[in-house]
Amino acid sequence: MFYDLNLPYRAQHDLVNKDDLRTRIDMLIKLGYQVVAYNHVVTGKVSPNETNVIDISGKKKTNIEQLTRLTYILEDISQNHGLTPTNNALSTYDILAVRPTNEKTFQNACNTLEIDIISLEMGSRLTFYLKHSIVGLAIERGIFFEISYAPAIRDSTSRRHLISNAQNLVRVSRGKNIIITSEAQRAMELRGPYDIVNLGTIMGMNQAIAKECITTNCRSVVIHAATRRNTHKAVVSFDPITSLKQNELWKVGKDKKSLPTGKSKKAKRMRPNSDDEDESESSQLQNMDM
Amino acid sequence: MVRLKHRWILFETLFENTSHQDTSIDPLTSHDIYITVKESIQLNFGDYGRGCTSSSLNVKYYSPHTNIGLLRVSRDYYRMAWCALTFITQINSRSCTIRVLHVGGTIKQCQKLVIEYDREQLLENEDLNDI
Repeated sequence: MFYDLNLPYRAQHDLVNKDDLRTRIDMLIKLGYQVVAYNHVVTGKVSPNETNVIDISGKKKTNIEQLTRLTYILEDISQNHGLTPTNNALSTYDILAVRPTNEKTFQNACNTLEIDIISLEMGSRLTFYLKHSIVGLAIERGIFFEISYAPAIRDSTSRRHLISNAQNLVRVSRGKNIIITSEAQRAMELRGPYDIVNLGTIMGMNQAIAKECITTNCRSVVIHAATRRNTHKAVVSFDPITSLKQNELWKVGKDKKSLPTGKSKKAKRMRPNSDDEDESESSQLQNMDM
Repeated sequence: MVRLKHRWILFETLFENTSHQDTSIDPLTSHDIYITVKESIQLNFGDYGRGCTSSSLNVKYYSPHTNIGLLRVSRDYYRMAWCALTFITQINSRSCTIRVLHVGGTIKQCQKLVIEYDREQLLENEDLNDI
């Protein structure tokens, strides 16, 4: 399964936008991707009563899995950006990413923020050094770093910066916890999965690691996100009993008709966690990198 | 004496407007592709890249009907040539993406794959027509 976890999405609904998005999706399907995440970029504050701007309800029938992603641009550490687990607006998105713009916010993102992806503006010169000590913290917490390749295809200055930044990132992270995404504004900026694997080899990865960047690592991101949103302390999740299918009702020993709607709950263990019980107690965010 | 070995890169060109039956545009030739790839290598890898690949770089086949072509490059530098293909955005000022279908050691294997791929494409079109 190939993933592209960054397809920019503009919220305005006009015909041009829709056609544009449609051609990009068609291109992705043609190139052999199976999962796509629409990306909505926000600067400033995420207010709790905001809802998901990405409308995927009408597009369910395509043969590509569709996710939503919110990328939040971190400009200042002191600003109240509302990136707390209690913020309901955040849990309406499948994946949560941040883009730090300076050293302080980068450190904050690696250290404390509960997110899935740290995205760096790689098409231009980074204003801070990527240090192994800081990047290592994020890797330990199961956060992934993103390399977006579309700027490299757009123009040659960005290409230069992207290759240099990407090589730096691969060096300090030792090739771990990296995902490669497109960030393509136009369909012509998309590339096939194996072309990207090859692109990864000039960024200093070997072929196997580069392939992981668009397959298993992306899957880990999606699972990490699901664990962050839907579970209690990354161990247990709840589903209403009414969501059970007819043939699964034996699990609660009841007939569906006799149930009160939506009130009773059923606990479902997400992950057997016997050997690291303490760890799951202490940190809400589990490293789901399996 | 060590034999000079090659890699064969089988690629497909995808154009922005998919109606490649458009007769107003001249069909691309393998020479056009060759020039574009050469320029892309020059742009991305400089004189060194040109020097490394120039002895073996060759577009053996390109069909403007199926948009499929075959590029030969020395085995040591095929990743360089592949990258150059990835960074191509236009050919003859037509906006275009190149997608690599297969990388093979022999021309025979690539030929087999082209035939299979073409057949798949044809069948897919047929299916669409049926609907």
